[in-house]
Amino acid sequence: MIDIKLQDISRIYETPSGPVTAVDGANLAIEPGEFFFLLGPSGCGKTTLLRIVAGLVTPSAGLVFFGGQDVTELGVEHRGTAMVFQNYALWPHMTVRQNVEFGPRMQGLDRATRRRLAQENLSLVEMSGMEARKPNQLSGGQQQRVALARALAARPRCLLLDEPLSNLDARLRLHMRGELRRLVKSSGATGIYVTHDQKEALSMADRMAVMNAGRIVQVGGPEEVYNRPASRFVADFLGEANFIDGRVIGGGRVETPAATLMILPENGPPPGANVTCCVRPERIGIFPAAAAPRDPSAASVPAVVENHTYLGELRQYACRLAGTVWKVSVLADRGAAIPPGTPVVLRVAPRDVAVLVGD
Amino acid sequence: MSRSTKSNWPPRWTAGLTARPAALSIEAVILAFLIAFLVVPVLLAIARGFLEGGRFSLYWFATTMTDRVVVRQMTNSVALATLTTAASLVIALPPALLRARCSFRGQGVLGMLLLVPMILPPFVGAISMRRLFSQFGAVNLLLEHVGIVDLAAHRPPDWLGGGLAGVVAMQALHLFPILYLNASAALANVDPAYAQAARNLGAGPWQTFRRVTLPLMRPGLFAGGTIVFIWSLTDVGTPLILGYQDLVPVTIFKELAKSDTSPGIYSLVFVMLSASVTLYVLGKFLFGRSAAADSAKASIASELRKLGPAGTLLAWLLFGAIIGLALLPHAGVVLTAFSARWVNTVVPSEWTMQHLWFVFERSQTVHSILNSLRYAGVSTAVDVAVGAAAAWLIVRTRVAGAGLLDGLTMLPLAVPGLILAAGYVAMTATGALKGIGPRGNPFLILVIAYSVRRLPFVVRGVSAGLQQIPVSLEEAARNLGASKARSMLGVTAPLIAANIVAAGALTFAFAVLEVSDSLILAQRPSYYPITKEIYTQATSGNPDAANIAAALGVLGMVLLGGTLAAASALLGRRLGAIFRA
Repeated sequence: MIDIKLQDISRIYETPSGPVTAVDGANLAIEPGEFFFLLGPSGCGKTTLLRIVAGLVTPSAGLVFFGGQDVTELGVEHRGTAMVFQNYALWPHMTVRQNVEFGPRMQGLDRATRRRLAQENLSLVEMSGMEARKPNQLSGGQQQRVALARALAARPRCLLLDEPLSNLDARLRLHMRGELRRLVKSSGATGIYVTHDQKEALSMADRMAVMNAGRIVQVGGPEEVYNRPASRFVADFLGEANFIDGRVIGGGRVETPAATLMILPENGPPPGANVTCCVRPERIGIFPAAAAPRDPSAASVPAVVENHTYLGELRQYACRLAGTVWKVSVLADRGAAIPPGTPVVLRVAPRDVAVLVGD
Repeated sequence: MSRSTKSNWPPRWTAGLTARPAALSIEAVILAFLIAFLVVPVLLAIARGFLEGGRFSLYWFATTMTDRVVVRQMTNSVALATLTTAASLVIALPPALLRARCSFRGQGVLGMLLLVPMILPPFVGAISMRRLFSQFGAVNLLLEHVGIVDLAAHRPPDWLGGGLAGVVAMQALHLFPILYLNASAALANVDPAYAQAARNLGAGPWQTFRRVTLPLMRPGLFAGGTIVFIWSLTDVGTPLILGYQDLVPVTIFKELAKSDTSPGIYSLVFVMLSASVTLYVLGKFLFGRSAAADSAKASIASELRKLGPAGTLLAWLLFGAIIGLALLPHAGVVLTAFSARWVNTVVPSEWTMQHLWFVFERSQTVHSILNSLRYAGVSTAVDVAVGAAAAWLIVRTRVAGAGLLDGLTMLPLAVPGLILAAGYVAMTATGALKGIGPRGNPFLILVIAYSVRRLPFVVRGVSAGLQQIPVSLEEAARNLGASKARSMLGVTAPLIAANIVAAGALTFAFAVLEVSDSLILAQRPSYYPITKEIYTQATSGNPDAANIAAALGVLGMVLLGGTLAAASALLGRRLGAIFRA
């Protein structure tokens, strides 16, 4: 269990059409035993950053520290990391057991210990009895488990996971989320997990770094990042978000073309600042204008229903308000939907408004 | 397009030619061609070894197999093939690994130059090897010049080692490109993530290579190795020229040239055929089955290490050394062709164009050139027609027996030229077909021998092209009202034209410089092809004849080099696919 620190890491690739910056000045401090996520769209540099931690990619600039020790120049085989590759990279010419024993073998452990470690970790991922199979005789989900066992059997200081669930079907992926988190946390290793799936990150991470275009744009716990996105990009990337521009007029209020929104004063910028307010669709209350209850503690935004979409557990309204269209999600009960064209009042509580500055 | 939609299709504009009978009849013609000219002759040759007085007998087989000379020759042949394969591997592996792992300036050009040694049959190069490496040859003279060897004091080193070393060197320097191509392809097919996973779990570079990369590329290496092994095992020309003649193929060759071939020789043919077919099958189906091919395609692009100036220099030195060594015989041939006086000097002391002119003045040499062009031209036409049709049937139709067709068109790879020649001798040396036999006018059997042997290259070259063209392109044309023939000619043919032309060029070039069938099947001088003429000149003992043989060799090189360059310009990187096992 070690802490991992990245200091001013950059990676520039020379391509025929000029240099491309894959990672741009990344700084991170990951706690010992933490399950840390790198989240971002494809091409944002998250996999490159993971490979820099593994030592498979050399950074163009910056330093990597494991437990306070500079490992930037340390060869990949001496880092004590173990990676679960996106396509698992199970060696096709070796059996499941040979695959899992590879790490212990490289550590010079004797046969009995190797066998025991392989056995333990295979049973941990519920793959006992499959030792003699070749990887191509396994299903995708089984390969994924073996890849995890192989990484765990090396007893790494740091476990690296590169989109390990992306090749599984949706149902299995959902099931594996909880199990994967349990296995990684119980192994005690510091874990770094790369994904573009925000649901995976929100449901599994201790903390996460959101990346965009090679830069780390926000670091924080799932609820913090979801509820207090640092930028429009983060808000958009993690779920759905509504935006409206406005100006702070003091006293925890933001004047917008649609209505005056209330915000929590403690995170409000000074009066006069131009800001963007961000509200999640599920945090908005929607009431027909004629029947809206009074609620002085929340802002009331007048709007008109444009259309609505039935999503199973939710019903999502598109509402037109001055200058923009907001999405509003409510639990779909058996009651009838508010018909299009109906004037409505949208209720937004101060704590549900994230204020973005200079975005 | 599935068959059911075809049958439902309104036959308005597909009237007349429906696909299935057409495909079946084309397939029947191709199968008949292969059976008549590949299977039957080879079976005839085998049968000769097992018939005594018209009945099955093991007499000849037993007599031959217990002959101590034959046993010694077999041991020698296997030793030669083993050494050649090992030497080829040693030459081919370092550059293949270097190119797979690193990028450096000039790697494309160097990679192409590495294939150049294939453009000369090694027996032609062998002519000059004696000049270069004999006890008083150019190399020792050069070494004396710089003071390493003293020719006067004691016996100078004999580099050719009584012939064996020379044959191994010539064959390996000619054949290593095949292993290089196979190794490169095998490496390219190994997902870089496999090696990275090993490094990540604590394996160093050497352990990663030994435990992961090498096992994963072994099928490719083995398949390439079997080609080299079979080639070396059945090579006639090189040992003949270098005077290392205690080998099975040389014995077969000499015996086939006689008018009354001993049936015992056909027993040897049977043994050689069994060995090569067994190896081919092992290479293709048992060890050749790539484990890597079963798994997902490369998940990540391999990250090539960019070499700095020092590394680039070392890479150039490695490639340069191999290319230089491999082109030494070619250089020797060129020097021999243009030398007027080359006695006890490192390079000729006087130069002349006389040998080259002489080639065009003598009617016999001119005839041999014209014969070769004729044989090669007709065989290329046959190959392109048969090969393209076979490729289309195999890739594009689900005609019954396509698997058999695929297997039969690749079978010539397992049947060495020597064996095929023995088959044609068995078929035509005596009896009703004597007129087209080796002692008659061998035009037909030579053309067919060339065609049959190069057919796999054409089928492969065209198949590679067809596989890259999505069927949907043809379907789109059909969907918009084009007939089957129209969509093939208007859409498919232009897209694979480069493949067809390149495959044709290769077939032509290799036919011109084909050795074993040419040496055996043309017995009358007026029907000699170039290679037989080169061989005749080189072994005539006439002092000038070696120069004329070399001059003919230079012409052959220019021809083959030119067509190969044209083919590679057309096909680019896909050229390699043709030579892969």
